Amino acid sequence: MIGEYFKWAAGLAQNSPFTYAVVNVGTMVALGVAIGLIADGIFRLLRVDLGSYKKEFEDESAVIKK
Amino acid sequence: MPVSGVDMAWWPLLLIGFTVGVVGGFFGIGGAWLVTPSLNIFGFPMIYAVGTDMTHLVGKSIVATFRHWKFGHVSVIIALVMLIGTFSGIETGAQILYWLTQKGIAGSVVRYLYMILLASIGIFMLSEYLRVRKLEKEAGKQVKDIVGTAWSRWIQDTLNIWPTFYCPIARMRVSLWAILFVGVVTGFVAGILGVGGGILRVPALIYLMGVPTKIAVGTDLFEVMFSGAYGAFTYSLKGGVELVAAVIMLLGASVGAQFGTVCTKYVYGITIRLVFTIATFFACASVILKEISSRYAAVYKKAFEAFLADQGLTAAQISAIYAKKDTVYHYMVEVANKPEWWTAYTRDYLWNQAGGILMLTAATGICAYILIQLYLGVAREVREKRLREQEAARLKAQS
Repeated sequence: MIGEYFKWAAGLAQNSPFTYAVVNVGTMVALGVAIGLIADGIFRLLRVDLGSYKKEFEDESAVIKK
Repeated sequence: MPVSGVDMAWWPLLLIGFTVGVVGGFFGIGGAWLVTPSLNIFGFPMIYAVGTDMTHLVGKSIVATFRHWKFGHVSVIIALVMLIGTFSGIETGAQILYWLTQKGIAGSVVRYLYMILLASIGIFMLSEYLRVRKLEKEAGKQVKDIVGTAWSRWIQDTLNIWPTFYCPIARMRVSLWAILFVGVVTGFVAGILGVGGGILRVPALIYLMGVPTKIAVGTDLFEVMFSGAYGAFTYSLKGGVELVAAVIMLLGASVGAQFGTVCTKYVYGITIRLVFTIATFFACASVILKEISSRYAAVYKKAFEAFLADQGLTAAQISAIYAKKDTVYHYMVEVANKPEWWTAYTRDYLWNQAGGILMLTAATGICAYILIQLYLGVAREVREKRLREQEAARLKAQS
């Protein structure tokens, strides 16, 4: 099924470049969002806290301010 | 590969994706200067390399930006305003590039400009890093980041015009015009150079805007999402994208980006700047090698393509000939009877390969350094957590 999708997309590259461009960008956006959410879910499942943290520039004594 | 018709194993794509995922997630750049020569090394045709890289970049930057956003490294307001300036700057720069191309001087002018710019950025950042380390030794105190420069203060004082707003992520008050100005400047330079501009925007955010290093990294990645989508769209219109390769690269890059972005939590801004400096020098070396190879290309390219056009071949067919070395040999030596073209082509090819190997080595080395830093950071965090738990248990037992 995935192979057929790529074949269909390659066909678009020849026959309809605009649709091919939309399909390419759309595929990447969909995959990017899906993978981002899956990765976040995995970190949550593993109980790895990757939320906001105290950054070094919030520690005035360790930062040179010009 | 269904579009290009090239036979290529999936694992180099996955590995290249992983490596640039780590590097890009850590620096906040697209890293086209790393990907395209590396892809070429493994036999991926150059005409598809740029577009395929741009396409995978869309997904990768979404994954990396998501993680940076969770860390609180993304200033959406700065990124969005800068994006407007960047696009208008790129368009103006692209017009100048078009004018230079018509004059026939684009290639070398652009490459020399790029070399000077990258070398200047690298030297400036390295000297600043060394100055900080010297200061640390004198003061006996660790410096973790530097916020603001005399330039950023000048820009913000000079362009302190309404509307101004406070950006809580970067902890600074800034005028909309100051952000637009920096966006236009970096976009203009990127447009002339014909590059994505991440390697220019991150230092611009740090030195011209006065944004803390980690915020510059996250904010630039947010911008890369949009500039990558624009690039992917335009290259797809020209048929220069291999979607299968982009998806495989994205799978590797998504894993790599997790490592790269998470590592930014465990290192200080000043360390990110040092690694960025090293990457800038490698990018500069890559442009120098490209300039050398272009000298050989000048010997055969125009004449060879004119010869092929006389033979009745279309532009697409000429591009396809470059994808296979045997075919190039056949047309240059056996059909055109020009062995000197073949000699120049071979040297051009070898210099390009040398650039690819250099970039691949650089990417692997930087990636290994980032992974080691991540391992050390996680180990330190686990150790500290265990000590805290032991201390809590001891206090509990005492009471």
